[in-house]
Amino acid sequence: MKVNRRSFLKSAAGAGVGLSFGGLGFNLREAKAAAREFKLEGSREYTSICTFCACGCGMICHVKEGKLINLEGDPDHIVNEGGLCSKGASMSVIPNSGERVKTPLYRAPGSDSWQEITWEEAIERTAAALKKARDEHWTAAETENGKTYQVNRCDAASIVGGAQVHNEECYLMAKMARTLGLVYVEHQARLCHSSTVPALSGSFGRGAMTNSWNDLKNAKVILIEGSNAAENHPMSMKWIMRAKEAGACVIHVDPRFTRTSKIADIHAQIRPGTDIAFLGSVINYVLENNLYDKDFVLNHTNALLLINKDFSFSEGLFSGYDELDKKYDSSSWSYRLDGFGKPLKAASLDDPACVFSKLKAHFSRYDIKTASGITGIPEEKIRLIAETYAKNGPGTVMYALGMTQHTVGVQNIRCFGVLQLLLGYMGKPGTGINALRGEPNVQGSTDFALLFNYFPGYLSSPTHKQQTLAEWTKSYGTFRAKFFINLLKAWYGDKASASNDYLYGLLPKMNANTNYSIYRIFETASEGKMKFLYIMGQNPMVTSPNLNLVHKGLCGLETLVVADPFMTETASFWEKPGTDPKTVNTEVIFLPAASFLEKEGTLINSSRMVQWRYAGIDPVGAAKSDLEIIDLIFTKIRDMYRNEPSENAESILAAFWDYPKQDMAEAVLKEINGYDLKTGKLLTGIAAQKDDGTTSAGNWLYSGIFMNGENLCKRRNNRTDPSGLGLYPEYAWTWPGNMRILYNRASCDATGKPYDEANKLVWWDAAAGKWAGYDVPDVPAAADGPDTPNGQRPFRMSGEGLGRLFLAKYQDMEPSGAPRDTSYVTADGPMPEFYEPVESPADNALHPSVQINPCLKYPRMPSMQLIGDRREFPYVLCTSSITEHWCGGVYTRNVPWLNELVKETFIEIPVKLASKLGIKGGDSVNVRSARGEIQVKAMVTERIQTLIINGQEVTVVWMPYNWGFKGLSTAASTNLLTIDAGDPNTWIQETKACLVNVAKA
Amino acid sequence: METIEKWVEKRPFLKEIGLLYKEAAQIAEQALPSLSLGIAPSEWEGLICGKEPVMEHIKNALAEKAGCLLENLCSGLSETEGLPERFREGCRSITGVSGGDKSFYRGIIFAVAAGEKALNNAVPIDSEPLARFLAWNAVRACLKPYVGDIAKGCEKSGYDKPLCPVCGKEPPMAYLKKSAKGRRRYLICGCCGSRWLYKRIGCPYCGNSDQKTFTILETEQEPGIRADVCGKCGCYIKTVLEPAGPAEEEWAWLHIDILCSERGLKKRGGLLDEERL
Repeated sequence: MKVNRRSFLKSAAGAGVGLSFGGLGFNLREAKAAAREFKLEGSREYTSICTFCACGCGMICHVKEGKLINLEGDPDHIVNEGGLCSKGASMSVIPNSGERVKTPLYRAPGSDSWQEITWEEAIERTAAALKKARDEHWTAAETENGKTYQVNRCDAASIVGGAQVHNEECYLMAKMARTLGLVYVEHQARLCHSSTVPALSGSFGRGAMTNSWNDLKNAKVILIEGSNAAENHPMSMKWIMRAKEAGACVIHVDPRFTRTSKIADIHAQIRPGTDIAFLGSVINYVLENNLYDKDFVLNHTNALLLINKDFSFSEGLFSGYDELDKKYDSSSWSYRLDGFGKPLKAASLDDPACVFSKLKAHFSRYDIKTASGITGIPEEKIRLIAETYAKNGPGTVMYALGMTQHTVGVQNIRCFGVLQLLLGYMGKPGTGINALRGEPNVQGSTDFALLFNYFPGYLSSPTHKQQTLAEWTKSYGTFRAKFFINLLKAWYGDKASASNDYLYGLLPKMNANTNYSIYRIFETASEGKMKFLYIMGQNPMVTSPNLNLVHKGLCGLETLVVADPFMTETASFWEKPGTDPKTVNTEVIFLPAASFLEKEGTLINSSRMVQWRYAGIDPVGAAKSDLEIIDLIFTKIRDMYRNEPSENAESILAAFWDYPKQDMAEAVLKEINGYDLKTGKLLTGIAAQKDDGTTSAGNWLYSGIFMNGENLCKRRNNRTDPSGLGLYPEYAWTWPGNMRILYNRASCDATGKPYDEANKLVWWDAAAGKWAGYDVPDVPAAADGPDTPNGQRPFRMSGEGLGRLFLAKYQDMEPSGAPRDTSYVTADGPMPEFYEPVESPADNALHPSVQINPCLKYPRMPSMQLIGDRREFPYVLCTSSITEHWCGGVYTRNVPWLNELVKETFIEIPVKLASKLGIKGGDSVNVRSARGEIQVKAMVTERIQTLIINGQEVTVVWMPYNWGFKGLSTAASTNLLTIDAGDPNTWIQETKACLVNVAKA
Repeated sequence: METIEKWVEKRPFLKEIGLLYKEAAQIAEQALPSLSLGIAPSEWEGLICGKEPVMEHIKNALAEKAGCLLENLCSGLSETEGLPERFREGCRSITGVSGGDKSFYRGIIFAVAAGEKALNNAVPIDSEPLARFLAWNAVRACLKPYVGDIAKGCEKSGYDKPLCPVCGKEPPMAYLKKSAKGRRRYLICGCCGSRWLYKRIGCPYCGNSDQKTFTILETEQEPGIRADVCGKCGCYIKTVLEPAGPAEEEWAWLHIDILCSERGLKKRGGLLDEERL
C-alpha cells in the first residue's frame, strides 16, 4: 500500500490509540485513590523581553500565586536562543525585591524626608506643577528681525526619559509633551547614540542599525570599533562566534584589551578620540590601492556626482566657515545641477570634480604613518587591518558608544559609512553598519521622538521659521509631509483637516537657533529658567556627564517628578552626600512605576525588531505602568484646563485622547499603526497612508505592524527561514514593512541580479515584473524595475537615492517643482575630518591651527564647564560599562547577585603608570578632572598599554560609570569627572575622552 | 529495570503496571541485538523531510524486527506472575491464534505501523486492543536506539509539526530539556517513542499561541511533571521537567492523567486513554 505523508498523517493522527490499562485487566483503584491525595496548583508562563542592552533577548517567566518563581532564557527566541547574560538571568529579583518603591512619595521643598502620598495627590501635584510652569512661562509668540512668529511653547517645563519604557509609552509621552507645547523633550539616546542617527541617515537615508544580530553570522570579516560587545551586548557574541566558526576574522579596535579583544583575531589599542585618523587611513588605503568595489561605487553611490566649484577644504576647514558663529554656510557643499535640478554626473571616477575625486583627495592626507602617530596603533597593524578588512568580505561593522560619545561622534560614524560604501559592504548579508544600541527600547524612544529635534518617525521638529505645514514641507519635502499629516490626524483626530492645516499651527515651534538638548535642561535649570522636569526610567544623576552641573540644575527646579520602579539618585538628589536638604527648595514627586515584567506593550531591539512583552504579574504595591501614569497626568491637566479655560490650552483640548483602561497598550499601538479613517480599518502598511486626511498613523514607520487584525510583533516563528541567512520573516516584526536588512536593493547590480547568487536577499524577477526576495525588497515600488529611475534608488530614503560618500546639500525635486525629499547635511563638514578631543594630551598633527571641532560651542556655562589642561591632567580617561551592571544601575545595583560580582567603581591603570605612582591593585586612588574628584579602588592591569603619540608617551585609564549613592551597592560616580562638551550636530558629550590626574589616596 | 523498580517504590499504586513494563523491558533487552533496523544517524534527516512518511520507509524492516519482539512479548508476558490474569490470557490468546507463524506478528506490526484502523482481522476482536498495545511497545523498543538520531534529524530538517514525524500520532507528552539553547521543549510520541523539537509555548493540538489562555497545573507531590493546559481547546499535555527513569514514558504518569481527567481536561495522543474508564 502506498501512502503519501499527508494522507498518512491524516489517518494516523487524531486522539490517542484508545487503549486503557483498565481495559487490559489492570486494577486502577489504587491509582485513582492515590491521585485524589494529590493537589493540583495553577501557575502560568509568559514571555518577556530583557530590559538591558538592545539585543532584545527573550525570557520565559513562570508565575505562581502572583509571584515570579522562575525566569529563564527563551529557547525559541531568534536572538538569544535560550541564553541570558548575568544581568538578564538575575531579573527574577526585580518583582520580588524589597527595595521597590510601592507607593507614591512626596518630598516638600527644604524637607529631609519623603512622605507617602496617594496616587490622586501625586497626579494632582504633578499636573498642577506642570500647568503652573506652562501658564507662568508660556511663549505664544516671539520676534526675530522685526517679524513675529507664533511659537506656542513652554521653555520652563521638560521631559526626560523613554529608553527603558515601551513604544506605546514613548508615543503617548511624545504626544502629551508636544500637545502641551514642550520642546525640552529628551532622553538617554541624546547621551548614547544621538550621533548615530544623522551619521547613518546622512550616509544612507535611515538612522538605524542596518542589519541584524543574526546576520552577523554571515560576515567573513567583522570590524568591532568603540564597543566591548562581549560585555555590553553579550548575545551578539553568539552570532560573532558562529561567524568565526565559519571562518570569519574578527578585528577589534578599542582603547583597552577587553573580553571582546579576547575573541578577536586582531586587536589594536587606539587612543580615545582618534578614530577618524585610524578609519581615515583605512579609507585612504582602500582608495590608494584600488581595493574598492568599483561596480558598487559606480552604481550605488554618489561617487560620480559633480561637486560645486566653490567647495574647498584647507587646513582643517571646509569652505563656508564662519569663525564668529562657529558654523558653516553649507551652500558650497552641493552638486552641480542640470536644468531639472538633478545632479550632474561625471563620465568617470577620474573626473577631478566628482565626489570620488574629492573624497580621494580629502583622505590622501591620512597616510598610515600619520594615522599611527595620532592613534598610537603601530603602522603595520593598521596596514594589516586595512588589508584584512578590504579583502575578506562580506564585512560588517559593529560599534557602540566608543564611537558616538565624542565631539566628532557623527563624523566618526560617517567614516564607517564611507568605508562600507567603498567596499560594497552594504545591503548584503554579513555587511552593513551595526549600531549597537544600548538600552532595551532606545531605538523605540528614538523612533517615537523623545528628542527635541524630532517628531515621531524622524520628522523634523517645526521651528519658528516653519509657521505652516507648507513651510515645513518646503524644508523637508512632500514625501515626509504626508507622514506629518497622518501624525496630526492621529493626534488631533477629526479636528485636524486640510482646511485648518491639520492643526499644525497648534504645535510648539522651536526657536531654530536654540539647543534644547538634555544638557541645556540642567543648565537652564541651574540658571533658574527651567521650573519643571519629569523623568521616566532614566537616572541622569549617574548617567549624565559633569554631574555637579546636573545636581545644580536639579536644585534649581521648582518641581521634579520621577517615575521609576526603584529609588534613584536623581529623585533623591537632595540626599546626595554633602548636600544640606534644607537648602534644596525643589519639590520632588516620586511615582512608583511598574517594572518591565509587570506591564505589556512593545519594544524594539537594536535591529529594529518590534516585540511584544506580556504582563504576567501585577505591578508591585501600588505601582502603575508608565502608560497609565501618562494617561492619568494628561487627563488631569486636560480637566484642569477644561475647568479653567486658557489661551494656551487649545492644543490640549483639541488632542484626541481616549484610551481604554483594558488593553491600553494594544489600543495605543493601533493608533500608532494607523487607520483608514473612511473604513475604520487598520492600515496595512506605509503605502496605505494618504496625504488627504483620510488616513492616520501615529508613527508612519510602524504602519503594517497589524495585518488582518493580527498583532505581528507577537509572532514567534523561529523555524521559517527560507534563505537560511537568519532573516526569520515570521518572527515578530521589523520596520519598515517587516524588512530585515535595510538597503537590500544594493545587494543586486544595476540590472537587479544579486551580486552573490548563493546568498541572495532580493532580486528583480523579470518574468513576474517585480522585485522579489527572501526579504522585503527595499525599493520605492515593487513593480518599478531596474530600467526605471525608481529601480536605481538603492538608498531610496536619501534625496539622491544613492549611498552618500559626500554629504552634499541637496533637495530632490518633484516634476512640479516642489521639494520631494531633502538629504541630510552634517554641521561640521560633508566628509569626516579628524579633530582632537576638547581635552587632549596631544596637538592636532594634521592642522595645528584647528585643534578641535571648529563648530564646537563650549563651554556653554563657563563657571560650571571648566576645561582641563594636559599639564595638570596628564591622563586620558575613557569610561564605559560592564556586563554585570547597566547604565545608571537602578536595576542592577538592587540585585544582590550582581553586586557580589562587581560591587563598586574602580579604575583600570596600566602597570607602567601604577608603578610610577606607587599604586598597587586594590589601593585607593584619587581621580581628579577639571570638574570633580572621586576616590576609587585601583585595578592595575596589562589590558591598557602606554601609547606613543607623535613621539610622546600617553597613558589611558578607564573606569565604569554605573554607581551612585542609592541602591544596595553604592560607590563614587565616575561622571563627576567627565566632560559635557558636545558634538555640534547632536550635542552628544565626549564621555570617552577627557583628561584626569590620578594619585594614590 | 532498576529505575522502574525505584519509580514504583515511590508510587506503589503503579506496582502492577510497573511490573508489566519491567518485564517488557527485560524481554526487549534480551532481544535487543537482533532488533537493529540498520538506519545510520545521518539518514534520518532525509527520511524526515522526504515526501513519504518515515514509517513508509521503515515499516518492512520494522515489521520484521518488531514482529519477533511482539512474539516474545506475547509469550513472555503470558507467563509473568503478578500481571492481571485477563492480560495474560489475552497474550495467550494472541499466541494461540498465531499458530507459531512469524508472519502473523509481522502483519500486526505492519498494520499498526501503517496506521490501519483494523488489524486485518488477524486477531479476535477482543484481543485487538491488547495486540495493538503490545505491537506499539515492540515498535517503541525497536526505535529506542534511534530516538536521539530522530530528534537530531528533526532539528536539522526544521520539522516543526505537532504530529510525530515517524508514525504521525499526536504526542501525549513533552519534556523540557536543558541545553546550551535553554530549556527546549521536545514532544514525545506515546506510540513509537520518537521525540522532536517543538515550540516552547503553544498548544500542539489546536495551534493556539495566545499566552493569556494557557495555564500550568503542578502538584507538590510530583515536582518532575506538570500539565500544560490550553484554555482554548481544553486539552493538556504532560510536560516532564526532570527526566529520570521512566519519567518520559506515559504509564509512569497515569495518576496525573487521572487527576486531569477528574478536572474535566481532555487528553490527546498516546496509547492510553484512562479518562475513558
